[in-house]
This record gives sequence, C-alpha cells and structure tokens, in this order.
Amino acid sequence: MKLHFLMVLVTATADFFSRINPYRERLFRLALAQLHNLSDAEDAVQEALIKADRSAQSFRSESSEYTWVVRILINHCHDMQRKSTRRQKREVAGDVLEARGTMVPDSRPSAEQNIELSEMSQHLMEAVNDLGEAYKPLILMRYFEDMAYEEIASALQLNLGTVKSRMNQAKSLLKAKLAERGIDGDYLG
Amino acid sequence: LTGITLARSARTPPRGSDDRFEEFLKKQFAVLKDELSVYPLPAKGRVLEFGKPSRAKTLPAWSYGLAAGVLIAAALPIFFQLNQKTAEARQAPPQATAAQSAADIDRPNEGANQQAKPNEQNFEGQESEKEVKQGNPRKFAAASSNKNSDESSKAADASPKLAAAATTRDQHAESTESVRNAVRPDEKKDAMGGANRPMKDRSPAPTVNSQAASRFERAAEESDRVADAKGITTGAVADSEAMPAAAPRSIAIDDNLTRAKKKEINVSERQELEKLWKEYERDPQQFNKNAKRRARLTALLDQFKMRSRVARMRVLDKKKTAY
Repeated sequence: MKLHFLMVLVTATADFFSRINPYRERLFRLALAQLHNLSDAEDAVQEALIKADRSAQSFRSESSEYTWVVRILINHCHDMQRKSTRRQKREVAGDVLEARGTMVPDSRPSAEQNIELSEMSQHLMEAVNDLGEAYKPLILMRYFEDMAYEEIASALQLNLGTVKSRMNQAKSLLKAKLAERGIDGDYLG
Repeated sequence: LTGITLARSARTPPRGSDDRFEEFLKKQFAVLKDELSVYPLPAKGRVLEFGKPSRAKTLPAWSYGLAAGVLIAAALPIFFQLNQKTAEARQAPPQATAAQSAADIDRPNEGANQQAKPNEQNFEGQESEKEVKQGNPRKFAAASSNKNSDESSKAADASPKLAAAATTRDQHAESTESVRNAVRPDEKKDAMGGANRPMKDRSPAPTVNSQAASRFERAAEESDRVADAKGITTGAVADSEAMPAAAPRSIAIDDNLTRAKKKEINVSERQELEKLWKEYERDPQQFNKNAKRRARLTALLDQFKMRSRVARMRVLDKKKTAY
C-alpha cells in the first residue's frame, strides 16, 4: 500500500516536470522581463520550479498547473528584486568601507548578462515592477501571459469581482507610475 | 452626425481613457515580448535538470519516530551503564579516605598513650614484632627500620653511589632522631611532673606535639623505605634527597567534603568581595589608600570574573584623577 503510494508520488512528480517542460520558454521570458538579466532569469525559473515541486501537494487543481507556476515565478522574481535592492543598499555601505580600505567582495550579477530593451519597454517594466506584490501579478498575467480574468482568479485564488476591481486599481496605478516617468498623453495615444 | 461621431468614438477611444490605456498596454507588452524573443534560451537541460526525487522527502513521519525510538533504545543502556560507572568511581575514593581517616584517628590515641605511659614504649616495641607477624604494615615499617639500616650498610659496600644514599639516609635518620628528642623532653617533663596529676589537668599542647612527632616519624620511615628502593634500583637517591622540597605524594580527591569546603570558601570570599566593594563604592579614594585591600578587591573581582565592576573601578579611578 505504502509502496504504491510512493510510486504514485514519484510518477506524479515526474509527470509534473514533463507537463511543465513545454512552457519553459514562456516562463524564462516572463522572468527575463522582470529581472533584465539572463542568468538571474535562469535561476529564477529553476528555483520557481523547485518551489513548485516542493509544494506540489498543496496545489489545488482549480487552476492549471502552468498558471500556478506563473504565480510562483512572479512572486519569486519579486523576492529576488527586493533582495537585490537590499544588496545594492549594502553595496553603497560597502563602497564607503572600501573607500576606507576594507575589501568588500563584489556580489553584483555580471553586466554582460544584462539585456537591452527599448526605452519604452524599459520604462514600462520599471513601472510594473514598482507596482508591488498585490498588483504586479495581475498586470503580468493579463498583458504578458494573455490570461483571462477567470484564469487569473483561479491562479491567485481570488473572486472574479475582486480580480476585476484590483485590475482597475492596478491599471490606474500603473498609469500614474508611467506618468511619473514622462509617459503620458501623446504616448498613450 | 451624432451617430457618426458616436461610431468614431467607439472605434477610437478618447484620449486618456481606460480603453486607450488598455490598448497601449497590449501593444507595449507585445513589443516587449518581441524584444525578449531575441535573447537565446538557455541550453537544453541547463535550467531543468532535476534528479529523481529523494526518498527522504517521501518518508512518512512515523519512520522518523521509529528511528528516534531505536536510537534512544540503543543509547539509554549505554547512558545508564556510564552513569553507574561514574557513580562507582566517585564512591571509591571517599571510602579510601574514610579508611585512612579512621587510621589517623587511631594514631593520636596511640600518641596519647605513649605520652601517658612512656614506660610502655619498650613494651610496645616488643609487641610490634608480634604484630609484624600478624601483618600490620605500619608496625612492620617501624620494626624494619633497624633492618633497613643494616641493609643500607651493605649497599654502601656495594658502590659509592649507594654509599652516598646511605649517608643521606643516615642524615634523615638523624633528623628523625632529633625530632624524637625534641618531643621527648616534653614527654619526660610530663612523665615526671604530671605523673601524679589527673588526666584532665594535662595541657593539650604535648598531645599535639606527640601527634606531630608520630606523624613525622611515619613520614620519615616511609621516606626511608622509598630511599631504599631508589638506592637499589637507580642509585640516584642522593640527588633526590638533596632536593629541598619533595613533591606531594597525596592526590587531592574531589570528594563531597572537599567540595563542600570549597563551596564554603567560595561563599565567604564572595561575602568578602561584596563587603570590600561596598566600602570601595562608599569612598574610592579612601579605599585606594590601603593598597592591600585594593589588591585584594581586584584579585577577588578577577576570581569571580566581574568585568562590569572592574570597568566601573576604572571609571571611578579616572574620575578621581580627573578631579
């Protein structure tokens, strides 16, 4: 009985990866859009999939596995960005130390791996990244992943009405963020 | 006209409306995706390289409990066994000391008897021979001292080193004799002057002297025996005897009594420290005048590792110097 359970679990895990594998490219692009760094994006996808594998038992089949992994990946990228912001702050302090003569190891990702985007795309993604944990997944799922409201609702485990209202809030916030960056009026058409 | 404008407005949303923004977002995200598609995908298998899921992950919770139970079952008997052994080891030395102390208690009585009846010394000396046969090692040592002197003379004939050893032994014997003589006048005095006196009137000092003498005698006899042994085996007795202070033979046993004593000392020292500290805090200048007390306080603070107080002392001393 127990052996059977183990076998089912093992095959389920193997199936999970085989099911997710075709979406690898999409996931990588999503991570790259947020992180603007190739190696970071690779790492993010890998770690998000490992996280998904670990919490596979808690996955509810209300949403598709892909949308569920997308949600995990977006949250993971958000965490990585927060960490990098903290690291940058520390590096500022490290620069001060270095100026005093203390050796500080360089922990920044290599600049060669950074990607180049158009100015508009750069501003857009910066504004999206500024939205915060509550609104960012909504915008990315809706416009980057072209997901329907129902799919978003099931992935985020929210009501459809809540998703719609939050989406409106997210859009108006994003508008304001873009306006801060000078993308206003004419740019919006 | 109104219909046409309405139709136009339906096709092209007004500036700044949500629909325009929606369109803008859709367009811009499409551009973004195109831009991102330029970048190569990671090599196949680089991102997704998952090994087989480990067994540990799938182990049920009860298996950990079982493992813990087995470990405890194996470890508990060993623990109890070790505990028992340590308890036995602790009990053994106090027994030895108890036997030793009992013997010590007996000895002063012997000394007192010697003091009270000096004429019986010869009788006891005769009896010691009998007790040797019965197996009393202490008496045997006393009785064999004469034999040892004979043996030492033989050793002196054997080699010059052994002769040196013999001379040192003789010196030792002389010193022992001098101690005996030092004790005897009191004994004689006591024997002469206190013969008619009752036992209660006698002062305790001679008793202490006699105890000390008997102990010293015993120590001397033991050292004789050791000297004999060394002289025969190594022949370096002269050197060892020439040393001013011999290493202590007894080993400090950490029994309950000594522990209690240490605790008492600790408590008393702590009290002393508190007292000195109070005095110091009351008037540091006045306290520092007495160098001995000051030194004692610092020593006690070091002993009890009171760094905060040491720091405070430093501050107070600095203040004093500042004023």
